[in-house]
Amino acid sequence: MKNKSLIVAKYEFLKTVKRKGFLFAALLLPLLIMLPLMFTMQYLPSLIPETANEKIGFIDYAGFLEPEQKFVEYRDIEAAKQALIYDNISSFFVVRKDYFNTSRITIYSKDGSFFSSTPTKTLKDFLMKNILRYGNVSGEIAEKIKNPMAVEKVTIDEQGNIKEKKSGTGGFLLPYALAMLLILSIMTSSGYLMQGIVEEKESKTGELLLSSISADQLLKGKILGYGSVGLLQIGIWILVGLIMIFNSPLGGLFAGIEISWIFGLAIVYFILGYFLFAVSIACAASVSTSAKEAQQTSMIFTMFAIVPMMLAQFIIMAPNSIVAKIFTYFPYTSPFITMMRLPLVEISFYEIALSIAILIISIGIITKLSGRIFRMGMLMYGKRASLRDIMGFLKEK
Amino acid sequence: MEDVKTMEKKVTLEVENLTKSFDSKKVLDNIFFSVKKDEVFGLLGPNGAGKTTMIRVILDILKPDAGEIKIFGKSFSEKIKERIGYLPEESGLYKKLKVFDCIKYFASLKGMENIDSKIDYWLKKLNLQEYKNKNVQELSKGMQRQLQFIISTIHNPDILILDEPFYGLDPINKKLIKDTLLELKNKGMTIIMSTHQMDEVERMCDRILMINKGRKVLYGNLNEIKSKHGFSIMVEYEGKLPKPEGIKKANDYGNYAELILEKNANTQTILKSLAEKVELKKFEVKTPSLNEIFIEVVENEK
Repeated sequence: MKNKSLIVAKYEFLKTVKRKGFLFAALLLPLLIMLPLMFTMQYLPSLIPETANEKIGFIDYAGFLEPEQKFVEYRDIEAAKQALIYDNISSFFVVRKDYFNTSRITIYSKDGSFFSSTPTKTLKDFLMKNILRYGNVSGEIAEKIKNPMAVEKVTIDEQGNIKEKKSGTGGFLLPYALAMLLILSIMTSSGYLMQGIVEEKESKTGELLLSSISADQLLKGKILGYGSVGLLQIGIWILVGLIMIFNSPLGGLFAGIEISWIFGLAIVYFILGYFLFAVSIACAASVSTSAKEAQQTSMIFTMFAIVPMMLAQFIIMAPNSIVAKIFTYFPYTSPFITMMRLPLVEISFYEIALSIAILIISIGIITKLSGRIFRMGMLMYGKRASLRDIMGFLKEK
Repeated sequence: MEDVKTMEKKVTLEVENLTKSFDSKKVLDNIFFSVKKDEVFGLLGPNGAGKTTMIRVILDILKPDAGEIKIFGKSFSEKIKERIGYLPEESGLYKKLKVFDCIKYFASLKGMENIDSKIDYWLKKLNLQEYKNKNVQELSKGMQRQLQFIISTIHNPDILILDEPFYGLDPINKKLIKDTLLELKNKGMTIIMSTHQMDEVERMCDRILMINKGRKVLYGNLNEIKSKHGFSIMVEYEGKLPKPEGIKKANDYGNYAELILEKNANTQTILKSLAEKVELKKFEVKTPSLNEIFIEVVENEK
């Protein structure tokens, strides 16, 4: 006998991926977002006037600036103005005689042009270089003054053991992106599942299905089918995202980061998180009569997915706070919060194991309760189940 | 082993002391009955009597509070579901699916594989061949009912449970389904039929179970039940119908009446007294219709 859950899963999967809505969300949407982004990253620099090669003029009344390739000295403002009008320079600035007392300079540029405004950072660097040289500061020291620190933070616990370490931007960005991706993928898959169950209720096929397959098998099949749809969608998004990242300057941010174990944990948390949300949302959908009603009922669960997003800034600032820890153990938030904390703090093996154990136990309990509600809910047509009905369903064997 | 096989031959379904409550309301109260192999069994009762709950319990969709159900002499198992066909009262189908794909999906859930030619056979038999590649929603209500009928029988079940099978069918398709059911019965299929259409039950069922408010009120061979309820006289007449002695109840329709007789009523005396008052066109002594028995039993229960 073929596994009936797999038959249901295959049916639901194929039915959904053939839909125009899915094809749009999975294929066209990322392309619509990514292509302009890629285009911008690839071609924007060429569209912007080459500021790097453009020259900036200056009139130095304080007498400490030395001209160089990019910076051209003029005798007076009139001469500089002429050069600016004829586009020999993109802008010029005047250093006053009392510069060392006031630090005041005046920048002149052409009217209205965004690209031709003077790059102040380049200007600052040029001024600092000349000040340091004027003050007889050596090249090496001058470099140090320009970049006085490269930070690596290490904190120790009471025993003196290293506890926290913060890595670079990429090391933080990737797991943070993973946490967001996890929220997105779980919510997307659960959304498909909810839609599928509501459609089933609207077509009143519950009774016919349950005469061929048990409610548990049906629920399992649906969760598996729509979970695969969600995974496929996220897979496509990740693929498009990775192609984009590694073909753009952003790729450098992620260079050399050890991500395999984080990916491994992300997959574990995706499966467990999706299962927990799927079972809960399936249960909410089975007692509703329309998609709108199902969305309202499942709001109680989707809210849990929003909490980590709202708390993101706080968690990043205080990844070891009691709030962060509580949410690491709370089953509906643990997948997301753990993903957020992972790159910021060393979460002990026991902490991760405990959060996964709580998640698995919760799935067990909720599956058992949801199974009963789902079975009875699927048989209820045209009427939303009241709380009293649901309590009655729970008493069913 | 021999015993089990013999039992399977005689009794297909056995229900003992079945009780089911929702909240504190008893929907099925200590019901017991059995259905024999290749018989058509009628499951009757007014709306809300507990028929659908009974079917759901038989199909293991709902669990009973007490009692036992044996199918082919064995307790329910998932494997047994493949030997049962079910046509629910609700017309539940996937509207956006093609007719062929819809049958195929439900058949696969019954463990069927490679059944394309079988689907063609059934579509042709019920005159739905031209709709094979159309979406289910393009079918009329009656056609959708026929499609559901195919879904319930395509896997050639040993027991076929039908809930209001003739609902929404025109007379031609009703006859087509009826003929098909009798054909299936002759091939050895056990058919359990729940319906309000008493005339169809009278024509097709060998035995019946009538429940009301969750309790068994009638059970057994249809002819025996009818004869136990005495006799009735069908008269076609002109004039004003009197009510002679020996008549328990008269359903008078103007120029046609069904007269329910008291236990020891003398039909000759009744004929004589009627002939004196009205002009009789037809006078027929018969067992009461199931419809009459149904109304009587349900009203007595009130």
